Amino acid sequence: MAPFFYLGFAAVSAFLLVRRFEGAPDPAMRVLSGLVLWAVLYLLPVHLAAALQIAGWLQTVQITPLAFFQAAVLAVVAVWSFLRRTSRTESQPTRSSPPSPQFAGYLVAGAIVVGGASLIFAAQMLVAFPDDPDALAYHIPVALHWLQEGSLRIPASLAWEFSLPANTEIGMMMLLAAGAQRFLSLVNLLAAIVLGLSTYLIAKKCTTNRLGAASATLIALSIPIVQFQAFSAYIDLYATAFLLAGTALFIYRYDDDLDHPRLALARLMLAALACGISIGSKSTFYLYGGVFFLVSAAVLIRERCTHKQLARGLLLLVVGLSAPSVFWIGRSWLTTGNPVYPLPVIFHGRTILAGNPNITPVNYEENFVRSRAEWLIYPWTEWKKSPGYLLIPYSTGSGLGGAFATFVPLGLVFAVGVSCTRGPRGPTVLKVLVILWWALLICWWFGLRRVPRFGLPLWVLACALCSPLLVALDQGRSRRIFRVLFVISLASTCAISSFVPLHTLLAGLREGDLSRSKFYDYPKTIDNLPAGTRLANEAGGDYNFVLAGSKLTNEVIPDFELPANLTNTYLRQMHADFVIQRLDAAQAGPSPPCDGLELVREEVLKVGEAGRRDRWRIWRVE
Amino acid sequence: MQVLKERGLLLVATLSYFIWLGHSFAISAFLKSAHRLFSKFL
Repeated sequence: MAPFFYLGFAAVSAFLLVRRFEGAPDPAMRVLSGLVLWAVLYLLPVHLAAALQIAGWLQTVQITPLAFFQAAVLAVVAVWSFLRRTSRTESQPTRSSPPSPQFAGYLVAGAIVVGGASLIFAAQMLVAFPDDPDALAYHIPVALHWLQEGSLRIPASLAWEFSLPANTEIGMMMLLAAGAQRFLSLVNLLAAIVLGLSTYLIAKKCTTNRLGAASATLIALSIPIVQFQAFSAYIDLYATAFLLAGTALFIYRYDDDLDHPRLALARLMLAALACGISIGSKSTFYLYGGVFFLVSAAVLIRERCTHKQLARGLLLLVVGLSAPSVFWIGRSWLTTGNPVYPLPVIFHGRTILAGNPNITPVNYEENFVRSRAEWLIYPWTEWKKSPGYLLIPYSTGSGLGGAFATFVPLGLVFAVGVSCTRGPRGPTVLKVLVILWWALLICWWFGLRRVPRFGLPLWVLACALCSPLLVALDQGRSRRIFRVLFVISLASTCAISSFVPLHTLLAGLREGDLSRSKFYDYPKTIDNLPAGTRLANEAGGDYNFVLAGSKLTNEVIPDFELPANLTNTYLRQMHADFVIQRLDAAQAGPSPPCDGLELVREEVLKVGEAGRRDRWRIWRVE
Repeated sequence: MQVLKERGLLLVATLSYFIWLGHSFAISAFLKSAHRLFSKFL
């Protein structure tokens, strides 16, 4: 129960703080502020406890003491909130309620389509477990490793998989501790809501039209990468959502009757904290975070005469960006001497600080395009080298969808046109965001190896930027055709995306066996090993989390920590009890992975629907 | 002029959708897989 209390207390504190601080009449802004604050409140105590543990002042990081700490924070916030309410009741200005949005049938239809697809994804969680490769190989294992070790330190092996900034995994750690391993994607569901609200607010700033902003948001939420990541244990969506939340909060800091300078500063701080969460979630976001800092600092310097808060603004920006990310940077620096480890620091071809330059292979883009020029038509082809058993090229890492292909590339060109033709009277935010978008596209092209999911902030921001086009089409004479096209394009994308979870759902119901061992196709024996058994994983990266067993009581030495030539000495050093080996069933060679092992069990299991068979061997270390 | 511009934009968007419909590998894969799945169930 401690993890639920921990998260619940943080949520109530965030609610109280937002109710007192955030005076926005727009409910989207209030909810967004609350969600960002909630994330900050549940991340920072873990960072603090982990830092104290690494410094040797705490023996282990445990969730029960953290829940008590969170309760104390809630008590302080509640008292402060009560005192503030009595002192501010009379002075609070009456705000005019925003005009209620017009009813638009096509938006309701679009929302039903996107919501329906999300429901199928959600229903899949009831019969399935997280099953995406990177999630199983290291995102979930790192969260479980922290929980079992009681420490967030980088292990002695310096494996890059366990050394990445990992704010998303803190949420997963809480859910694992609560025994909710089927529902780890709830962390990303929160991110999807944050992403939707941020897209809506940014789009509204570009058009001042709620319907256009809502249409842009639906397109963003229909992007297959977004839909798949919202129901997975990946981290790109979480980082993207908070980066966009930071952007939205920053561009709204003087809006909504925020005439009180302290409230504007509070929103600036919240914007920086949101961006800091994204920096501390994924190392590719160092780039986006750096751009966020430069642009926001430039805007604050430009506004210094109007608002006269330059020094305080810059200070809050730096503090906000650092607070949710400095733990990871400090941890890497103390352990390896390289603050951005596992990324190497290379200057003019010379390695200044060592790291792993091959986390993402140089030719990784070949999984999505057959030649570099094909990127120009990727939204219309959505080719994938290995689409898997169902052949559908949509996944956590690929696919932009039909609604995106229909409106977004054209919308970007239209946004450039609007920015140029309206001259200095045009919407400034739109102009700045359009310039930034193209600059970031260049960064993605040259700096992020053209991996589609690394460019997720770009694809979502592009949806917001196409809102002027959506408004123009919706206000034109042929609006009926536009509305039909809008709904059809969303429906065709969502039908394809939701087919994948629908297949898993039907397969699960048909099999009738919803056990973990059946879902992941591993021997049931592994679930029945005594708690604390240490297993060396020779079954492959996909099994680093799986081998922990249904009760998560096995301690797994992941495949990436094992040496290329396994030796008995190494296994003894690591206190391994068993070596788990998985081979193709045709490979019947009797030889063990190394000397000094005794075969205690051998089992052949059918894998999935493709008809493959795996031979499992469990070796005891003697 | 405004009407022409709007209709031009809508035409490009519609063409864009049909190009996606005709060329995206997602569509052909979906049709193949859906057929395979439902023939198994029915």
